Amino acid sequence: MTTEEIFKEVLESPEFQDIFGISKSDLEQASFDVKSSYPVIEIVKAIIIGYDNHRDKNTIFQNIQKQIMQF
Amino acid sequence: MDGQTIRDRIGQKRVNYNSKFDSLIRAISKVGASSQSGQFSSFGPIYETFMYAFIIGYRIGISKPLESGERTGFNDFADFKPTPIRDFVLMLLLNKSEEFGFKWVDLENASEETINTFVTEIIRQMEGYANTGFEYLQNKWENENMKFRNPFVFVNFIEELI
Amino acid sequence: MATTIKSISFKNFYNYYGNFEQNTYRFKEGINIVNADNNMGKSKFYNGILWVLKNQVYDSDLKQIVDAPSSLKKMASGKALNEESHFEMGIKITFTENADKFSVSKIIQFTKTEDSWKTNEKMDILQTIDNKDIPILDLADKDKIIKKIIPLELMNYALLQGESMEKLVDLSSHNGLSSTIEALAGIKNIIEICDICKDLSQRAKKLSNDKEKEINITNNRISGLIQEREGLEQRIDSTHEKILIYKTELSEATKKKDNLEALLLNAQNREKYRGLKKNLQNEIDKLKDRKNEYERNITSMLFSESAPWLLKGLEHQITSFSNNYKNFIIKLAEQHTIEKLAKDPIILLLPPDSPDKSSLLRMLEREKCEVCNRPAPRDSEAWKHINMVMQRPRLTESSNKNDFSSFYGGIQTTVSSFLNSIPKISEYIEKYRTTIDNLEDEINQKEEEKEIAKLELLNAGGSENYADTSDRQSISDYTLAEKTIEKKKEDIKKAEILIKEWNFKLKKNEEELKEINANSEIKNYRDFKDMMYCVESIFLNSRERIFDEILKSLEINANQKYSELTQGNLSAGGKLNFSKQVDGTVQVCIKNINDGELTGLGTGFQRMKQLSIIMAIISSKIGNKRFDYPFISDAPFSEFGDNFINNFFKIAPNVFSQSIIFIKELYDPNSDDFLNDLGKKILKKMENGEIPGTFYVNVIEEKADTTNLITRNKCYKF
Repeated sequence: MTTEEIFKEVLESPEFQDIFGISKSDLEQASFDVKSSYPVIEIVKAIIIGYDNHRDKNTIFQNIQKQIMQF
Repeated sequence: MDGQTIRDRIGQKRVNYNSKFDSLIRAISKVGASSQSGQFSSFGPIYETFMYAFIIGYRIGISKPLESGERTGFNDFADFKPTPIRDFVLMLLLNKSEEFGFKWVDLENASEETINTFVTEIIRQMEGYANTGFEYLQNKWENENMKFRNPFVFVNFIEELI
Repeated sequence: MATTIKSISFKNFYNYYGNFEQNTYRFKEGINIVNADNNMGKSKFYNGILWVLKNQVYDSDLKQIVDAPSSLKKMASGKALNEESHFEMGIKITFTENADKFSVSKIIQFTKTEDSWKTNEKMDILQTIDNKDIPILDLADKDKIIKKIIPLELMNYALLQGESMEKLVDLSSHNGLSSTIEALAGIKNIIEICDICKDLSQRAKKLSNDKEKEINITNNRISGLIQEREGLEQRIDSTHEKILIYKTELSEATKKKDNLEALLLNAQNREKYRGLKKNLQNEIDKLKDRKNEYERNITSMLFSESAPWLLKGLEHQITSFSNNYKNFIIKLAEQHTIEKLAKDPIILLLPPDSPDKSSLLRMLEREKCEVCNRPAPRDSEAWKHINMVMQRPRLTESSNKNDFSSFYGGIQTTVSSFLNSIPKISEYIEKYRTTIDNLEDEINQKEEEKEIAKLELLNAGGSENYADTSDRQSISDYTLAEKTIEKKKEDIKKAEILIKEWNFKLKKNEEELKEINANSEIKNYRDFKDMMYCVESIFLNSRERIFDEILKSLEINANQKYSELTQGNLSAGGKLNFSKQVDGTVQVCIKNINDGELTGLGTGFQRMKQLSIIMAIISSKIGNKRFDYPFISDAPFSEFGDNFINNFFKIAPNVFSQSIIFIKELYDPNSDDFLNDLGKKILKKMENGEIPGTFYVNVIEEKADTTNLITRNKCYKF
């Protein structure tokens, strides 16, 4: 599966709406190019991109921490 | 002399067969120590084998009495069993007694010596028929040995001669 | 990315004696049939492909797949080994992948030494570019090209050996169908991402916990709660690990049970036929004993006291004897000087005192004969006769020396009983013969039945020298495996309950900690930790969701293939049901209309189930990917009827762009073209274009033992 496909598939998870209260339209609009206002979506992106770029876990984690700090 | 006495005299006679049939007899009698006895149908005591050979020889109709020196004794005639068959053998010989020179009616007035000769002759003729029978069996043994593997072999030989 | 095999050639490979040119099969897209009977190079062909792709071969003596290097001598042509001291053994496969052409040659050079053979392996791979053959030298590149023929993860499904393996497809191993589905769906990366997420959430947790400890180092209550939490987390973690172990053990036990199931059926059958054989043998022994006894008794029948067979046909002798005795009595009387008695010899024949004197007196007085019940008036002839009998002298009054009449009389009495029984002897003998014949017939029949039981035993995989204990061991192993499965399921369940309880306590603990420790800095760390756990769960659930979707689509596809394959069969084959198990494997069973498991289906249906799954996997469209590789199968049809074979040829071209099938069911050694009716039909369909492909028939050139067999092929359709 491509990163796009993985991202789209993951966004189908009910947790986004049930736990994080993200609307369906916001989920549909989420993409790699545009930064989302939801931290959880950014975390998901960071993980997928980090994997795709063969980053090690430590780097990915630090990246995520950085993302969270911005929120 | 009365009937019982003559019966006893005949009974006390030792019966013989031709010694040359020793191995044949042992082969087809359980009494023999032949290791092959398990393979073939076989008789029990030698007198059975003897009576069988006698009947064969009698049916063939030829008596070849034994010469001196070629004889092996086994039992007295009185030992032959079962009794009815033993008597039948005697009966067959008595039926032919005139052929070997003895008329029943003459025996009523015969001397003791003559009676004894008669008794000896009965046994001699008995041995003679058995001799013929053994010869016949020996021939079968040598030339048609496979027949002896059939459990009905001795019945078949009899039926062949009827 | 479509791979099509263009040709396969052999050089001194098993039955394929001679060089590559003499043993070449040229193939096309569509169905390529190689029709051959047993021992005609069919499964050796398959071995060639297995050798190139996996460096393994199927050893028919050991009945298992072995590493090729240990089996080289067996793989070489017997004729070459016998007649040459230096030769090459090998296989050459030419194929295309889209526009690229490749040639792969795997060769073993054999050189005879004093007492054995020296071998040397070489692998030549060429790529044809602009009609020029360019040799590929890099080992990694060589490996890549070989994998283009059939990729590793599809090998189990695209390369099938029919009769000799218990299972065509290993559906029960942990890495079986599950990993194939994962490969098909291409969700390898999502699986790796899940792994990363687990690590990330652990890091977030550690971060949060460390922060908590750092801030609250002096607060006993909080320290206590933190300690409790760590304790719970430790227990949860170790129990998770235990669950993994249980799942592995469960999987192993399930696999063992499945392996034993096929074996068990056969083990039970074997026990059954062994028992049957034993009983029949006992009956045969008893009958033989009876027969022997009858046979042993024949000589005693010769000498039976009641009806001795020895005397068969001699009843006339008894009559002769009677006559002789009668004549003897007459003659004896003639010798006596009583004239009157000589005239009427009949009187002499009356035993003494018979009738007795008083009876005779009475008859005279009453003037009546009591023997014939007629009047005998005084002085009549009858009355005078009675008087004469009364007055007859005793024969003992004779003057003879001897008296043997009782001797003859005694004999007559003894043998007279035979007069009635001797005529019946023929009948007795006949009956006896018939009894023995009947026993003989019975024995023969039982021997035949025993032979059948023996064949059944051999068919069920037994041998006459097979130890009973192996089968009993299998049966007990099976029971043990079943028990283990139950136990492990129970253990997993209990562990999960414990984890649930501890999670509940953990939650409470967390809540309390949150309440007491409402520090905002800590809150941020906690929130972060929670979010990371949530993300982990999201990825895990996504992975499951994708897997389940693929499974569902596979189920639909497989059922479609299954119904196409079983179309026209008299017995309903049910429906395939795919279900994910506790241990992560996928089970496929056949269910009936009411969703109950359909049991009692023969091996034919089981194989059809497996073949349908394989066809579904291979023909699956996932995303935009389509796997287009040769489907190479060695006689999966041995259990199937003509109907299935027809159905298969109908749907196969739609599923596989190329299939190479080795079968014997079209073979008739007695027909001119070696094809039976079905074979002729299929060839006809090929000739008129209904079935695209090629048709080869293997023939044996020399009829000899297997060391000198040479297989050649005849191409019927290209």
